Amino acid sequence: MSKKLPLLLIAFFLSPIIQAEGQYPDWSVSGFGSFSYVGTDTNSLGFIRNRTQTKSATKSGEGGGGVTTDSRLGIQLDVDFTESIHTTVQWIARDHAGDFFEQNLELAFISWRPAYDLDIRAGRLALDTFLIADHRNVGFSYPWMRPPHDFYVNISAYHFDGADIAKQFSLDSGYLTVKAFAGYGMNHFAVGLGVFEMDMPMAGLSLAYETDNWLTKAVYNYQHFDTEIPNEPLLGLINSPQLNQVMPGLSALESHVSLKDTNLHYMSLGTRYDDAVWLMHAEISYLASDTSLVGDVLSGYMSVGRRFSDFTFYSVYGVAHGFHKNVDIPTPVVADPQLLGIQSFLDVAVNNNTPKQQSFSLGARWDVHPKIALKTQWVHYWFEENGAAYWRHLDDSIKPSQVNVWSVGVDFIF
Amino acid sequence: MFGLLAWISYFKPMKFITLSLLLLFTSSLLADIVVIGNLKNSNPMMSAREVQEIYMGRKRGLADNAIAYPIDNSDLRQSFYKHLTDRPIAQINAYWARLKFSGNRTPPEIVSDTADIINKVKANKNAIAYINDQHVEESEVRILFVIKNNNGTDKD
Repeated sequence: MSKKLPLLLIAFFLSPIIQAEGQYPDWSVSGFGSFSYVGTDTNSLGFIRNRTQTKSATKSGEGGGGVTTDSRLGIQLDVDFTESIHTTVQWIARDHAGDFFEQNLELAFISWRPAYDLDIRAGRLALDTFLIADHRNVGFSYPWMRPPHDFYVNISAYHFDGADIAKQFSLDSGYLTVKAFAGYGMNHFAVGLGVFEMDMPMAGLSLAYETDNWLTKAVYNYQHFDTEIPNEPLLGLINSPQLNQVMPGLSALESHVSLKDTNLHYMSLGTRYDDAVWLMHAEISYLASDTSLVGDVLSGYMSVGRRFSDFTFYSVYGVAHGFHKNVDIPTPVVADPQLLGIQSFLDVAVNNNTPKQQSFSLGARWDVHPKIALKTQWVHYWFEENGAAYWRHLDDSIKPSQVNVWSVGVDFIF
Repeated sequence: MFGLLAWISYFKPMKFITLSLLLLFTSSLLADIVVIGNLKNSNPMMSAREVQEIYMGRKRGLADNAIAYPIDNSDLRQSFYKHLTDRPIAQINAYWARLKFSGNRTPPEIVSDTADIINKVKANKNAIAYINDQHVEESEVRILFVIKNNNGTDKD
């Protein structure tokens, strides 16, 4: 790869504001990747790592996932123009709904460090809402195959376009970092009704306290939906005069299938302990929402791992519990199979959006090289009725109450 | 390498060379690691904790509030971090992968040639690096911290 081309392009655009000095500009190219396979023991539910994915893993591969679920390849360009002005561009090849280039552009920002303890960044930034949210693509940085599913599958976006400011304080034997961020997220999602662009202004505040072995983080994040899900098929049914005659009260469901102009509030508290032998992660969050399509959700997980030389063995318990109350879908006045099918379809659309699942995982990581790790993980999931909201519903069959998911893979950095 | 030396030692005429090579390796392995800075670096001698915090990206400011520029020595990296953090290099790499690929921090620059490292420290007032003590010329760089490699104790 030509070392000069990307540097010259960036330097050209930024040269008016930068006075190069000594060793600067200084640049580097690096990256990370994961290649994995995920299998399950059901074909009626598709396993996804994140709601942005278009494919899901199933028993027989009908969901199209399996290899793509946890596999990705990221490349990053870092340029230091001076000791205080820096830019980072990161692009990741992965399964993501929407434009393959634009949606996978994860980072593209310029940062200014006016003092050693102050960072100001502007551009495309990673969502920093939870303990692992801003590096969840980097499998090499954590022990699991993926961040705990019960907690992280529902994080609605990977990145946003905006700015953040972080100030660090020395406090006792550690460092407290206070960060405020604001911007606009334009993320594409795959839902049962199709792919839609979710535009949302957002703002948040995080507090992170780090010592030798501990990192504790508390975050509040506000998001507002500016766009609507592709709910035309649903609205067409709900507002049909003919259907309202045979399913009285159907039109009252309209407010339950809309996302636009509603708000989300994320509150989370997480901690990580790592003394080089023992490894512990725990997080809890509450998601407050104005709409039935999301619902209020309490989720959390706890992971404990123990290292033996190059091997790490771990277990994870996770839970996600939605507080959405079941909405009664009007029963047809005649037991017509087509009308019962519509009732079932609407029931899935309105009542299957709130999770009620628990999981338990066992897994291992083997660092075969300082930059390569082999991993495997088995996860057992339990669902309450209509609780598999974090899974793709691939057919109309009765959903299983328990599912096993296993995976093997390799994570690396370069 | 030691296997090769043992194999060579079966040949009597080679014994002298074997002994010389062994001594060379032994002295290199037992050499102290010194953390060095620019002659204009106003930091007093650093503690192990300060060095660790700078190399783990938690602390970025030097005594004069300038932004530290840490440099990793690829030849000594494993030994340096083992002494400083008691962690193998795979864990250090995983730690920095989190910070780097989230766009939050830039890890220390990794340099393999000792002469290059010394030149970088001489050229940058805020640079901090570590090298074997045999390579230190105190007229060129300041010693900020010493890691005693032979018995694992540090001297401040």
